[in-house]
Amino acid sequence: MEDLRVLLPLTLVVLVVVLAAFAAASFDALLKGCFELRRILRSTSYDFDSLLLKSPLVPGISVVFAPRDASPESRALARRLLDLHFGRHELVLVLDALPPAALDRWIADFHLVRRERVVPEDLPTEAIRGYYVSQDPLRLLAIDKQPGGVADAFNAGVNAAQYSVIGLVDAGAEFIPEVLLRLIRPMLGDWDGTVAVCAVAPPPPVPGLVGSIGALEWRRLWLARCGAFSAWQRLLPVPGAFLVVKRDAVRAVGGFRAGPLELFLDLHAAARTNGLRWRTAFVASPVSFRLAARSWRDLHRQVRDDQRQLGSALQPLRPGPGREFFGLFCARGLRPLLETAAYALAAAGWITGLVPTALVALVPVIAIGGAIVTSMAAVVLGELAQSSSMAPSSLAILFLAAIPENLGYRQIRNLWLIAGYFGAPAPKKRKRGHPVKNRAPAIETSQKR
Amino acid sequence: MTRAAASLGALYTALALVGTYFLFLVVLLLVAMRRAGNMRARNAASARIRPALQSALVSFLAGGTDDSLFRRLIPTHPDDIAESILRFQTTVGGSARDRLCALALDLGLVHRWCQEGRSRDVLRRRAAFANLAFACVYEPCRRIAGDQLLGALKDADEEVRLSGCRGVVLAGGEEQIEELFALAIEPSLLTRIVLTEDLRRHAFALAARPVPEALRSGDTPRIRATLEILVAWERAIPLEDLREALEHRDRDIRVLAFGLASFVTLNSESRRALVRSLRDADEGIRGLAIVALGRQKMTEAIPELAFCLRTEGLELARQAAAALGSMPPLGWRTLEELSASSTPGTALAAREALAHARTEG
Repeated sequence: MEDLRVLLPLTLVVLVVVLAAFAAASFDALLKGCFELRRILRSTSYDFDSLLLKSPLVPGISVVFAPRDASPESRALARRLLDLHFGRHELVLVLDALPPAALDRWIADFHLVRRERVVPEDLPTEAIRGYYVSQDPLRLLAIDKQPGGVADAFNAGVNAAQYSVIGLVDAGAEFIPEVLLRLIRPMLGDWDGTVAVCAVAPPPPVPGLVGSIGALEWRRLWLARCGAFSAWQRLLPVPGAFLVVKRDAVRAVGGFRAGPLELFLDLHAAARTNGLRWRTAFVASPVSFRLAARSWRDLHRQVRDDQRQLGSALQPLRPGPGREFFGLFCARGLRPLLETAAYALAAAGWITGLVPTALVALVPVIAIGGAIVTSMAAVVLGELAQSSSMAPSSLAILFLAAIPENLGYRQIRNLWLIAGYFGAPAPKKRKRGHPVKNRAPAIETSQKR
Repeated sequence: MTRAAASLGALYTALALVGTYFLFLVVLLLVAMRRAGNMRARNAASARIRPALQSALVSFLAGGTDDSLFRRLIPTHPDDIAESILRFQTTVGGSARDRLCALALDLGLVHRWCQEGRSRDVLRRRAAFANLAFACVYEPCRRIAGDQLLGALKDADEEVRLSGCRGVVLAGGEEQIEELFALAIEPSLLTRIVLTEDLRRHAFALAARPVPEALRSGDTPRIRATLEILVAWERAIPLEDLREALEHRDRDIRVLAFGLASFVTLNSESRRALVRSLRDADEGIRGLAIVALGRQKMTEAIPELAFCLRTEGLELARQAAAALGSMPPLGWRTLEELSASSTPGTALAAREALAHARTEG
């Protein structure tokens, strides 16, 4: 009992110190993100959009989309991808082992006809059953292939891509038709160095407590995981992002081993391993976003999906590129676990009288108070980085929503995060990659198709 | 000190720290709210006057002389007036454009842009030079801002430099064109893209000296950039000697040179290089050579094209047949002969190309 009287307060003190450090680190990331986003947004201009639209020197983009089905939503997304405003772009639709009925649906909807095609097999994939093109004037190539999973589908798409830049979009993303024009700009500014560009912005606000909490989640994510990580050259795609990646870079890291998140991890790791001058760029203007949550169920789904992706990609205790993102692992994997443990130990210590009341009170002050301050900072710093055109009263409401967010929701969210992170499937083995020659920037010189 | 007292001290410290942060954030919130309120008010005011400005500008461009609305609003809404004027920059030309620039000059906007062009704020500078680039088409504006525009070519910001370049090109400063071409073939792809369009109308002047000089420079990135610009122009410029580029060790340069060979008149050396390329080890290069020969309608290459039709795979055979189909009557005669070939691929490609050529012809 005496041991416990010493051990329990000591453990709590350690946890409180660690949680305080996490809160300080979060605040630092928000601040860094605010400055970086402000810099990015100020340097963004759309003055040459019409020129970029017309110029044959702008590299073409092959948008790779691997729908899971032939649902109306998937087909609508494919239509929107075909309608993007860009000089030279195509949609590579990878139909990974869809049932015959779903394949027929795609064929009927887009008037697809089978076409023989010679495609390089730079990245190994499952066998291709057939290539289809549309009889309509659509820049569309559909690939029907044997089952191989998401990564395999992306790799098949990269193999079949006509252009030197690959576009990828989150299936749940909303984007403007000019998104590719905005994404290509950072690449044109530094063609040799920029291998990938990611664009995402917070969604338009939704009224209600769920909407406010969702908006707070988004502001934190946008400032820290987008802005700050971009400043640290550790940019990773987040939900709702639209990405472009150089095809040669994808090939250099051995293609996809899972989704875009793992691809970015591999790009960062390959750049460091091989001493390459590769950089990733972030587009902060509102060109792509994931719709805001309108219900608790939506919010849970969004948090869980994001956390599972991170959990699968970031395993810092195993060898792989995830080790370089230890900070993100601490924030998303470790913190919820430690915070929940701190609540439990504080409650147990208070009930048994083994821990001084002041130390018990310190846990919520640091964990909840720190989180409230962090969320409020996200509102203010996000607004200072880019004015969201919100009414002043809405801004105040969002600011104050940080209080209910951290009194109840946060604790439940911690459980969602723990389940999401530690319940995620194990990451696939990383391919080390090799440096490749940077291909000609402008006019496509590949003569594959 | 007891453990309880230490805990209490830590608790008070933590509360004070959180409280201080909270107060600091409340102050920042008030600043952000004020800013948001001002911005909303500004946007609302702009939205109210924009339609009136738009229709007044349309009347003015249609020959009207009433500029009272602009004069009335210029002290309070200069940015709205400038933006409304600039919306027309891509849709009007000639005398209408001059009238627009004259209006900007009369309203004092050009002087304002000159002043903003000297600002340390890069955003202000960018906007100012983008506007000046448009206004300097008009000679009186050029007299005021021409020198400043030239100074912008040395600005630290790429977009300011680009606006300066565009202004100089649009203003027709012949002596600066070569300098701008040199800028266009530097590594920045964005600069090249923007300047390529603006330099298009100076293609013939550039083809006389700077282009051949760049192609002979031996500097691979510069040669590639030059060829990219030439291919993007898609103009039959007087550039006869492409042999070196067609046989360059860099594949990308060769690919671009074959693209260019499709629409320029070539000298005999370059034509021979094209024919030689039909035997290249690289299938892609052979395909490009076939296409270029077809576009050039080089009847002296018919035997080599026929050879390709007989020996290449179906895709290249089809291209060779299409090239032959563009050279009647000799090419058609060759296709007729090869239509009866015992090789199914050859016969198929020849038949298809012949049918297509006859339908088109």
